[in-house]
Amino acid sequence: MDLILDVNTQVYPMDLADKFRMVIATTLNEDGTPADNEYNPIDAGSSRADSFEYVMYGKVYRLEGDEAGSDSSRLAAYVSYGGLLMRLQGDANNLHGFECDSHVYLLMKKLAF
Amino acid sequence: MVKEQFREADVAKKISHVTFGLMNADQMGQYSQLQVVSKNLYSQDGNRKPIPYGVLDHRMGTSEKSNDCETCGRALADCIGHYGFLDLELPCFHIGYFRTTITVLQMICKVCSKILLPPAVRKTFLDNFKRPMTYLQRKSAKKRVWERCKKVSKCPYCGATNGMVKKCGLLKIIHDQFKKTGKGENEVLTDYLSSFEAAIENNKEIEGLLGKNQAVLNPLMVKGMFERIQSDDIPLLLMNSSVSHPKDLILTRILAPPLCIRPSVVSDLKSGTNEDDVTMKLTEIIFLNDVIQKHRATGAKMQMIMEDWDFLQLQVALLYNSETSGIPLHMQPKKYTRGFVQRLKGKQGRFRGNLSGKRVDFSGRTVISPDPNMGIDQVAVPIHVAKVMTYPEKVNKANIELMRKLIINGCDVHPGANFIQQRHNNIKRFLRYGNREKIAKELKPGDIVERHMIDGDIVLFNRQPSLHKLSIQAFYAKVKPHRTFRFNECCCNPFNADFDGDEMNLHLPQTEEAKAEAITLMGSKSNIVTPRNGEPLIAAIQDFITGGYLITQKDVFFDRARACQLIASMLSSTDERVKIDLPPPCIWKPTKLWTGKQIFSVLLRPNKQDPVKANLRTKGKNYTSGEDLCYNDSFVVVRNSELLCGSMDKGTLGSGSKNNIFYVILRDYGEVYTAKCLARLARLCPAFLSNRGFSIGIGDVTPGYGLLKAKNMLLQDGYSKCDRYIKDLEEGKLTTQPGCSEEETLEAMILRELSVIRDHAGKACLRELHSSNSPLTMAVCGSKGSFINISQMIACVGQQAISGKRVPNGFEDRALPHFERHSKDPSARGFVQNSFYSGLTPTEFFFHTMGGREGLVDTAVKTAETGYMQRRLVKSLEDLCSQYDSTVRNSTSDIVQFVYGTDGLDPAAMEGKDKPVDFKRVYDHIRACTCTMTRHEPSLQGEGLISAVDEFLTHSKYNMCSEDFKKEVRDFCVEVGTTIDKTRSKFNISPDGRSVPVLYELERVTRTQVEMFLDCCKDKYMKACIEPGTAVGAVCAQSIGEPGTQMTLKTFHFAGVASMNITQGVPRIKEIMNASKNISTPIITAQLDVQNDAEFARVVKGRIEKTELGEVSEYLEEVFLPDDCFILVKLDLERIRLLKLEVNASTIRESICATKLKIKFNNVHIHSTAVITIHPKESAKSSMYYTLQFWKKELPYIRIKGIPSVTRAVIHIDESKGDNTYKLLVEGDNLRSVMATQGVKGSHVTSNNTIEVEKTLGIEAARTTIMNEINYTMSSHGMSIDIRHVMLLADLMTYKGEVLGVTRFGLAKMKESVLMLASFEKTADHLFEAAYHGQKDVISGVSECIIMGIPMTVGTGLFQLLHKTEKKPPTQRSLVFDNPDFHLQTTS
Repeated sequence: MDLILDVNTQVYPMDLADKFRMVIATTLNEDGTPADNEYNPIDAGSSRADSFEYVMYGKVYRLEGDEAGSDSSRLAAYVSYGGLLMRLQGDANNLHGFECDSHVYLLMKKLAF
Repeated sequence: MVKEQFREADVAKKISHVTFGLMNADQMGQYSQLQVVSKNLYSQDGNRKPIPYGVLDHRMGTSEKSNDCETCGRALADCIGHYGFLDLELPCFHIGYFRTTITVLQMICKVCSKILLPPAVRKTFLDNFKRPMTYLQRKSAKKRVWERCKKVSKCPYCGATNGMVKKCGLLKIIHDQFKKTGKGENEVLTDYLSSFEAAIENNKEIEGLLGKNQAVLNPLMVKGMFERIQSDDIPLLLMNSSVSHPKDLILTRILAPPLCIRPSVVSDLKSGTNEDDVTMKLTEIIFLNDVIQKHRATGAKMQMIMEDWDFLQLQVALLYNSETSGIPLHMQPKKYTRGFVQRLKGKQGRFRGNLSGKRVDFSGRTVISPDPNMGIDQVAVPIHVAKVMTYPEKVNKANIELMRKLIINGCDVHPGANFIQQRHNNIKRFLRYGNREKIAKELKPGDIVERHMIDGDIVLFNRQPSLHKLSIQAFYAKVKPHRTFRFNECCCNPFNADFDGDEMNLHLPQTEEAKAEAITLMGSKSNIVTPRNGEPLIAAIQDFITGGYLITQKDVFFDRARACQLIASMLSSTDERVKIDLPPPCIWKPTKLWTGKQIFSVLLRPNKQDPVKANLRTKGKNYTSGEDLCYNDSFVVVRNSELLCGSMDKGTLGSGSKNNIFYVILRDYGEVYTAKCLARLARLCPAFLSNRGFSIGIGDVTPGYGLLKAKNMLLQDGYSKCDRYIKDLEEGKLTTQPGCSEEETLEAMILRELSVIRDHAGKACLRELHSSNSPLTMAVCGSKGSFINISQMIACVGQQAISGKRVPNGFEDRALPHFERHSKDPSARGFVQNSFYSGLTPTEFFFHTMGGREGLVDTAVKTAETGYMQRRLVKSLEDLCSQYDSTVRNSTSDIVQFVYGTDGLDPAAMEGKDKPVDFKRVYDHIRACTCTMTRHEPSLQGEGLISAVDEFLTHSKYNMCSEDFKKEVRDFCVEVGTTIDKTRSKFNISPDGRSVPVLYELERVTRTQVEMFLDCCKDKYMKACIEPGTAVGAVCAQSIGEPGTQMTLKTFHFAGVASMNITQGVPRIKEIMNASKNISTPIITAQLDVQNDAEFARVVKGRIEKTELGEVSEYLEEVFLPDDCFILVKLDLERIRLLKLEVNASTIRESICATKLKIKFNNVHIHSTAVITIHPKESAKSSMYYTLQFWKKELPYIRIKGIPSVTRAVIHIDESKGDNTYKLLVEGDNLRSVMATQGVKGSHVTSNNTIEVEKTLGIEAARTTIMNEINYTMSSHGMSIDIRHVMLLADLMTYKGEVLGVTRFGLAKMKESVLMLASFEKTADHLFEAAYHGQKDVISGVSECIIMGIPMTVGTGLFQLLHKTEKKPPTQRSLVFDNPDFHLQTTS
């Protein structure tokens, strides 16, 4: 698996060699009910985000076969978090569940050593 | 109570045609009210009363307000004027027909007045002329008859000798019948001479003068001859016997024009009146008449009468044409007067000034200023303007209340009205005075209220120069305070407007039809794209681009307050109340933040109900690599109106690119949404920018340490290279470029070296400057300025070039006296190494002004030149129009193209490069916007896709598409199918859907999507079809003419080979359009039979290029032997071998004999392969010695090989395809010989000389050449023009079967209409010629219709209603008596 990710380091500074946990989810609801993808300023209740330090919301916009890689089953998923890009490259099985035009949440948390 | 429909005025009388002709004396008399006889203007009693039967007699109309016309009794404004006439005492030549008079005289026998044609020839001509002929045919027929007649010197009917007739001085014709013609005795001459025998005996002096004997044909004699011309001969003169007779070419009577066209003005300064030139000339003529009369009565000397007659002729000539040349010095008029011809011709003349262009009411003009709060279809009109410009609104039930209010408001309160025209009495009443309340109360439906301009009125907005149709557009008016017209900056481009004090015009259409037509055809929303190439012209400019660029940067984040504030700022006017769906923040935690890209997405699609789902995937201006993950974030991906990655820049926001996001919206969702989006952008960007701040300070142009170092490195490097070149030259080591001298090579190399310094410095700036630098930001996003501009400000101004060279010598051997003589240093020849920040040295400053001045001169020259080019283009193309049968025809229904642009598509609707649909983009768009709704469908495989496409395409709804188009669609789908299959096989995806679901997302397309894609393509194709009535000609002319004005006049441009220049830019376009015979840089490009062999290329070059004997001989010397002398030529065999010339001694011998030196074959001896001797022969004319000397001088220059018209041939090496391919570039003409040269691939030879190609290969090849050349010239200046426009121009130039230039000569061969030709150039000449021929002008073309004030037959005027009214026979009412009920019962 390969990952390229834009992070707003101003609000969430990251350094080389930082270890972090990253989750990609389709909803923030604890119970797993799908998100309605609408912004609600009056946010109530607990969510998965509570246990993470950095959360982004974005959209899968492109799924593509890896052009350069010779091994056949590497895919690349492109996600745009409002312009902050993520490319996740890996085996098709690892990208299970990625669908074009679906909204996803990226949740991150730094790990202590 | 709708406004009455527009009807052509006075249907009962319609002008069907205009016939030109000559007026004879009787007609003039009938046409006139009185004969003018008095030479005095006013009676001398002091109260300035025009003398009766004088030139100012009020029976000819009136020119004063105080007096009415005495003929019709009407006042100045209503009287149309009446003619008078005056009789000439002696007949005069008409200056306009003087040439024609001579030609007619040349065609008739001077004794019997019959046409000088043998009876047989005469009959064939007459038979020929019986069939109807076009104007052009008549003109050429006349020339044919004339040429035939000139050959006849003896009249076939009366046997009289006819000599040459020619002009002799001013208004004098001589008949030279006594000229000695060839051999044999001229009987007439001997007879004539013998008649003088007695005279000679008495006066010896006569004998000397007898040789110079010519008969002067005075007007009286000519008139007699013309009168004797029989009526059956008139067709041979190509005159129209029903309207004119040759005798009318001679003036015996002159019409005195009405007073209203020659008003007398009462002078304020001095007592008396100022009289018009025509009035003065007429009085002079009357005066001369009187003088002649007196002289004749008193029996004055013949000489005096002749002198008077000459003077009378001159005055009559000056009345018609005051610019008559060749007037003898003593007769020349003292001051310039305006004759009739001068009144007609020229820009201010009647034709161009008053008939083709008229002054209008309901228009306004003021300064313009920008206003981003206006929509792109709105213009703010100052309230002062709105109160003056009115619209006549008809009162009806719906608007009567509003109208009442307006009337009560009156003239001085804004939404008011100025006049009212009541239906019952038809009198216009001014609303400033009178009881407005009462008028309002009496208002009835059907009255017309001239109300002020109000919000929402449709106005036409225009800026000169109106070079294309987008220079005048319809806007919705919005009445606002203050004094300028204001509009959205996005609309600057089509007008080419800026706000440095520009003024613009505003017109208010006066009928509902005009308004409707204006807003649908000329509305700014309907004209977002230019018909030149279909690129958007109304788009973001300058600050909008900067703002769009900055807000879409990756590091732009807003909190909720700021994001909402920005979104709110972009809403106003039409979308004030629009619902906004705020997207969820992209950063949820630690704080909720929105990016600028999300705000931009809101701009494109404010809420989820909005149908706009734009899709775009394109490289930006600073794209590096890696598609989405481009380092500069310059790969723009917009999916379903969401900006996903990339920052917007000039390419995606600005004009001139089809990758523009607004263009995409326009093509897929229409103009209304585009206009709204643009308006939102226009408000968002300034709001963002003014909050963020964007300004320039001295810090922005201060170079840092790194930049200075980089610049110094560059300078040192460049200088040292130049020094090395100079040194090389001094030591003679410099290798010259082909076809250049050493000096030229040096100059070229140094110039190249120095001009790259500035560019490199620009790149260094980009590298060294901080990304927050404002000028840099602007250059990067393309909103304003380039890297060169930045480089000039910060690093280095660079080389100043004058006409493509370094600064020339202004002083002796140096540019400025500050430098050494002959110095070739960079700084001595105009290299400015300082920047504007560091400041220029005095010499640098002076060099810089020199460069600047060239630019200014350039623009000044260019505007005049391109303006004239545009005028010519428009005049020749204006009447071409696409018809209902899909052809393109001119006004006389000549077919120019069978199908417009070979496919009948509108250039404005081209989404791809000259193609109606960009399949890739549409395919991606359809897939993206239907992605979620087709989620449940299985994705298609390659073959499934193709079979689906084939199935859909057979459906009848695709029948409207052309076969070509269907094939293109299918080809594209096949291509997509193969990519799908490739992916499927690569990832081992099973077709039955059992693989991992994510794999089916790859290249996913479903059946519904395919159907929608095909439908979309079809719709786009149908929309792209050209509408019948489109003025394709006018659009073509504008599309070619308008970019011409933007072209810099840089004449020369390097083409491939350094030493070979070809004319470019405006001069080249002019050359092509003029169809010049001799173009300045003719070049033939020849492919070779063997393409990759340099040796072969050199051999062929040797065959083509001109080689002289001197070039291949070691020496030529004269040899004197005791018994012989000759010239010995020693050939340089080694050189011949090296140059691969195919010459040897014997071919050289032949070449020598073939020259003009007249050397006999026997006199040239070949002694060996290298030695030739040429032996002179003594002749009567010159001695052997002189012949020898002469030959010795001439021989080195005789051509022994090559084509004479070729000056140079250069081998061009094309390295682009990996292996070197060679072709020949031949400078010069003679395409035929080059093609025929052995080794040249005859089928692959092209020339840039249209005429040459036409001569060699024919008209179709010439047409292709025109197209290629225009296209090449335009594209090398970075102008893209749709091929259809170029095609139409090329077709117009060639459709007559010969290449006709777009000049007055070509135009005269293309157009029939006299009025059209007269309104172009040579006004008077065309009119006089038409009158002679009695030409009938059916008013059909655009120019003619404008002149006559008739709606023209292009555009919405093309269709006519063919309606057969079925008249019911009048039913007869039964008479009372027929009714049996009323019959009296009669008892019988």
